[in-house]
Amino acid sequence: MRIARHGAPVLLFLLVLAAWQWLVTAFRVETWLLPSPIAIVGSVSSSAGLLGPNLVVTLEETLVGFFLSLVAGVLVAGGMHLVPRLRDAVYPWVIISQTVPIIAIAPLLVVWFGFGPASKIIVVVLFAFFPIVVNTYDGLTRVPQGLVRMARTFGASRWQVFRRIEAMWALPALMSGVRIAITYSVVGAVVGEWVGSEAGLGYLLIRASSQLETELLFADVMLLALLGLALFGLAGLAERIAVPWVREERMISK
Amino acid sequence: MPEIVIDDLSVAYRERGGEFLAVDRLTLRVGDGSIMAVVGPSGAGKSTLLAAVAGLIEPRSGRISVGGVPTRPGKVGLMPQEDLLLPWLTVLDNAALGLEFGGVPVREARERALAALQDFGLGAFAREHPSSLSGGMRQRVSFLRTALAGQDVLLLDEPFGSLDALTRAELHMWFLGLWQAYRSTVILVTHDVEEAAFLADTIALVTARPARVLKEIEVPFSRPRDLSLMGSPRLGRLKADLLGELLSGAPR
Repeated sequence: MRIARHGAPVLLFLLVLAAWQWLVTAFRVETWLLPSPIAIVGSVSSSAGLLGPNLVVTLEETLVGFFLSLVAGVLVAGGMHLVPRLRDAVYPWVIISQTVPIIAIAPLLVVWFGFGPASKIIVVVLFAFFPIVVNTYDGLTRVPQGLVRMARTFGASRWQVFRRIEAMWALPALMSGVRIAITYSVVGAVVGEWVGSEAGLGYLLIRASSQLETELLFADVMLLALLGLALFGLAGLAERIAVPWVREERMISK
Repeated sequence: MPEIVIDDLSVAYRERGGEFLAVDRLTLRVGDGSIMAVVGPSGAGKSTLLAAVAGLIEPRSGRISVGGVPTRPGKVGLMPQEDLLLPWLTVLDNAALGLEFGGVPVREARERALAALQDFGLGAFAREHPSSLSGGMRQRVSFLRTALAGQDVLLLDEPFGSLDALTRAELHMWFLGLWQAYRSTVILVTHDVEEAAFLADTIALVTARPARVLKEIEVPFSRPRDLSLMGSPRLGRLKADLLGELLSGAPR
């Protein structure tokens, strides 16, 4: 059962790598066109000194941007829920924050906020804020009215209803938002770096691609993929710790 | 113990632009520490009646007083068909929730809840979460939460409705035990005439939408009542009478 669950993805992963390796060797594909997996792994270790510090830069931008989005997103969603007028006023802006073509305004952000991490963090927030607000707000509006009524018959204040019932009820929805937002955050950081920067894996991507260092390019992309996977996994772990009852109920309803 | 007086009560609600009367000039008096069953067809406006007694909705006209003063939220306990336990809290914290919302400090609320859980056979589940309890057990926790909140008035909105027959009979006995201990004044809304006859002191038969009182009946059985009453011919006769009244009073 356990082996079957973990075996399938690992097997598929190895098969894809093996096929890739075989194709590249059999057809003698040039390294600058498509390096083999073994060459990519070799490049990760030989360029570790270059990749490592840039990975740290991107990770910092990703995390700072993500946590800013989390705090702002939760505050805005809570405010929208508690004050209907605020919701009507703010919701369009929340949607605009997501639909505005970030690629188009990112160069301006660099002009405004410089080549440093600030402009990247803003791009990350533009990516990650939306899923957190929308998920949290949805969670808050879907609280069963019976629960709210129950609390009111016991004499609960509006704030008690919000804190003890609505906020807790919305937590699983918030955590799904977090999983989406954390992966968007990695994309956001790379997009921000792509447009104009002095460091980070996104910056390295441009350098590697303009100098046809394809092995380095793939090593960089692989690190980004692993970073995304790891952060997604962490978010899943955080979800299991924060809302254990959701898992329990799922197990029981099976 | 408070007496509930419902005097000439009318409650209306809005739906699709129109105004509908859910309760029409209804007058009832429930003596302190007694159980009144309100029996009528489904959708008769009985839940609306309870919401009004709980102070959750404003009546169109008439008065509701509990212990001589007008009702307001937080004064009476309302217990619906669903248990409405919070899945993220333990059984103990769920049972203490009503006290906490009523302003009792957390520590004291927990202590009192734990004592009550032990008194009523739920002590072993105090640290469990509701998801690991059966429907009947969850409903008991919900009952305790309401009874503990110190509200001497309990409004029960078909709380036994979703349970299977065996669990329901068990819970009826358990509830009578709880009621003997707290001596609350109870209004029990149900469409089950047998349940009404077994549990209540008086039964008010009401019509379907809008709810009007069709007839009030004193239940002649002495207390304490046990399961031997359940299958007795006396209860069977009362049940048949009640059904007859309901069917003749509610033309369809």
